[in-house]
Amino acid sequence: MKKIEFYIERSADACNAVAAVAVVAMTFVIMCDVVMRFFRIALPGAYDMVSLLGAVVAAFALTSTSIQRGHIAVDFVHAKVPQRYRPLLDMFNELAGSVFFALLAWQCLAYAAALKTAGEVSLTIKIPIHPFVTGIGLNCALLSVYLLLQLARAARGGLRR
Amino acid sequence: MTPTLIGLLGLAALVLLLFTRIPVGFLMAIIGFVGFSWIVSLDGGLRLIANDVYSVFSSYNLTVIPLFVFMGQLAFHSGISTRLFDAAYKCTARLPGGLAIATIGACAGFSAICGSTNATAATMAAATLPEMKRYNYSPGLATGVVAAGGSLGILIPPSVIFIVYGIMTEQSIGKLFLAGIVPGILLSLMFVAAIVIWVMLRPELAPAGPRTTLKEKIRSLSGLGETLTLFVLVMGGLFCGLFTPTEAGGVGAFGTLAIALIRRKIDWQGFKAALNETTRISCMIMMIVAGATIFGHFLAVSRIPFDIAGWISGLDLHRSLIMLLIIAIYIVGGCFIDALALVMLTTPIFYPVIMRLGFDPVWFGVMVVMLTQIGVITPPVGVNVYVVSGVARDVPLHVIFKGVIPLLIALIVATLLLIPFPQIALFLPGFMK
Amino acid sequence: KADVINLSYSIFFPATHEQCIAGENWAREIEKRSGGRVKINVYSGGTLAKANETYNAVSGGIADIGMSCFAYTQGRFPVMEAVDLPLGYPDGKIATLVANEFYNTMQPAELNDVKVLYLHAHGPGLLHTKKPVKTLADMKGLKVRSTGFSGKVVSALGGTPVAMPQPDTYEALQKGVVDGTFAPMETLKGWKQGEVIKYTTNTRDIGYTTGMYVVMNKQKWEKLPSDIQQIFTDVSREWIGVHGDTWDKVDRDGLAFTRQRGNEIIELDTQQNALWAAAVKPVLDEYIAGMQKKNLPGEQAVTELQNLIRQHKK
Ligand code: NA
Ligand code: NA
Repeated sequence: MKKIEFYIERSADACNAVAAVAVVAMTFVIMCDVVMRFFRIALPGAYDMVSLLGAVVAAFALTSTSIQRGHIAVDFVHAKVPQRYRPLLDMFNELAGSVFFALLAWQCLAYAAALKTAGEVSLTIKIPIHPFVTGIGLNCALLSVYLLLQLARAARGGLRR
Repeated sequence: MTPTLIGLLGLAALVLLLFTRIPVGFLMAIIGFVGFSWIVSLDGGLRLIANDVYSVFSSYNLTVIPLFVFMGQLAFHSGISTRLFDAAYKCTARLPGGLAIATIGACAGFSAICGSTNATAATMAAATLPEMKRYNYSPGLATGVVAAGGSLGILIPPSVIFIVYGIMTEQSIGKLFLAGIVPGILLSLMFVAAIVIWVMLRPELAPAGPRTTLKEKIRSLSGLGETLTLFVLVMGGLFCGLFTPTEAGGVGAFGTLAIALIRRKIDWQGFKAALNETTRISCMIMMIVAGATIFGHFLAVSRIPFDIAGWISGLDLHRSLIMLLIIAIYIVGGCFIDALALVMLTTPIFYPVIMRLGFDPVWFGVMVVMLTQIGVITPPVGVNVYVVSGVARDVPLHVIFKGVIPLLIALIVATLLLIPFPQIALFLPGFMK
Repeated sequence: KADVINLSYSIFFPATHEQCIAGENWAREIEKRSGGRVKINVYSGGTLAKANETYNAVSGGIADIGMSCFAYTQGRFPVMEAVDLPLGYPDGKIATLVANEFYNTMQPAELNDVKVLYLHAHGPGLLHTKKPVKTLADMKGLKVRSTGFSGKVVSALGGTPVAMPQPDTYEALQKGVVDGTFAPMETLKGWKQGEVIKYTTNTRDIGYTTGMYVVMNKQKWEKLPSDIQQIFTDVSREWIGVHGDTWDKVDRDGLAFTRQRGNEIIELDTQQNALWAAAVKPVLDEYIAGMQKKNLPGEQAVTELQNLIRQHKK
């Protein structure tokens, strides 16, 4: 269990690093585009690249953001629930999240396969879109597994009490 | 069960489950998915979630969020915002809530380059919250001011909401932009007034600073140099037409990084921290927008927005009563629906009604923007508050929602002022043919 | 009544756009002729599915019917993309007729997972600028808002293509981020861009168009009783003309709007027209070459379109 947790967290860190690189890449693509345009040269596909890099930022930071408890949650009622029922509430939330992201991962991978077959590409420089949707799918899968682990942790915490 | 009933159930579920510490974005997505599948079909619902998440994540318009957040984080980690705030503090320290007032000024200034409320809030939160904390401002006041001040992003031009409204109603976007300027300044002043009154009543919330000499004040102004350079770079570039508002985020981030590196104010650790905060905050905002989009699609197929509109246009009441009713609907709707989705859903519905009643379409555009501003800071779904909370991680959400209240009152008063005095909005566009 | 067939219809145009109204009237006409057995709920302005998601939304059952552009999902409709080439469409009516006839002749497999109801296409995309463009030489280095094919056209003409979403274009023109935009006359009024440009160059001989589809979910279609299917087919056939006429009307409105603002229309002489047409020829060649690589009939598609345009111009 500890080992799985360790690997999940390492994967989340690695993915987050990809998201960070995408942020820097976005900044540089825009800067290049603006500077080149000043000299009336086009950087074709800056628009495409920035949009797709945006998808990388959001998707690859998903699990890491969850681990850092970065997804905004309101604990107003949670804080008022008696101590011993809280793990139950947490378990329900982790389960709902885990199932949802598993479904989302499955759908993204199916969508990516369909996009690959259809040959859909970005507007200007024709970057294939399916790898990006696959990326979203894999990150959703990682998040789903992480939430499942959290569920197990909450369950253990609940039993101990 | 009818779609309307399922829609109402979904709204009830959202309100009930929101406070159980499930992430807001996840919850909206889950309820939206279940509701949509129930009304349409499970296959449709499954397709919907993948479609919506990909489309929100890869939306070019939303890339301003990571870019401006990155700029704000770099400004923070390289100390640029600290030096700016030292200057602001030395100059306004004797005023009640001086730093909060300076924050409103900074929000208004930043709104002139950024057209979205959450990007303005995210940038300003990163730049100003640590400083207000450093000077022992109460967390509620500090976060409330940034959340409300950030909403100026859509009132002071450029503004995404004005552009969308202008296109949907075939009104001149130039006129709408002009119409936002005076209300934007007025609202900023009213925010300042709210802060002054609030701090005079509760001085312990914002401790006054030490007395500074004129010489110290002038010396502190040198700390403004970097900010001024960035402002000239971003604003100047925008006005001279070197880049679009979306690109301004990239140029601003690059410029901030360049200044920080040249002046050797940022190290590898600081740069990594800035990047980590950027990915976390951006991911959090994008996930909320994605959840709000899925939930919005569920509400649309429940037909509730259309039912309400049908009911309104059938009413036989005095025109100002109907206007008040429309305002009430926007305020309630704004509690649950994301700003852009609210405007997209409601404009086609209410626009014909207000035209028939003889209200000015440009004036109504300003009203819609101010009502959406209310929506981004009211619970349960107040995106600006979520954004600020993502930066100020030690401040609980309900504290921010409470801290927003004095400014929310100022915002509601300013909005209502526009009904007897439409000239506030229509004065400037009157000069345009 | 329990046997009313409820359908959702996603239109990417905003509710006030004439093409959205035309689509809505199509829905009302079907409701009327079915005697109330069909009810169609229209979701405009992308409130159910955005422009680039519409096709996927309809084939996947998110929406039952959808209207959007082929160009927003590049690569998915390789044959139908040919409609968007700069072939010199004279007006929206002809572009709409050509798009439908082209589809009927080619019957491309790329649309097999939906039921195609009908197609339409806008009037010629022309060059709108802040500074006068009177010759091909004036295009050199000009920054022009364009995406996809029109971006290739801009490059071929010697300009610098700048891609951005249509809602950003107004401000980009106003501030001078771009010097001009490639778009049908209609956008000058519909997207207010007539407020921020001064000149339109009538580049009619290289006028491109954007093909748009109205498609229905296949399972939903197959479940319809055959008399209802007949009503859909009949009304759709009639509405090809309605959309064509509407495109020409909005283009006329756009022209009136830009004239009224004192903007100038620049006509090109025969020699210039020939120069511009020759300059965009590589865009057609590139399309054909790309299709050949995929073993698709690119050359046949272009020839077919050129023939159809020639026939209708007479
Ligand atoms: Na703004
Ligand atoms: Na709200």
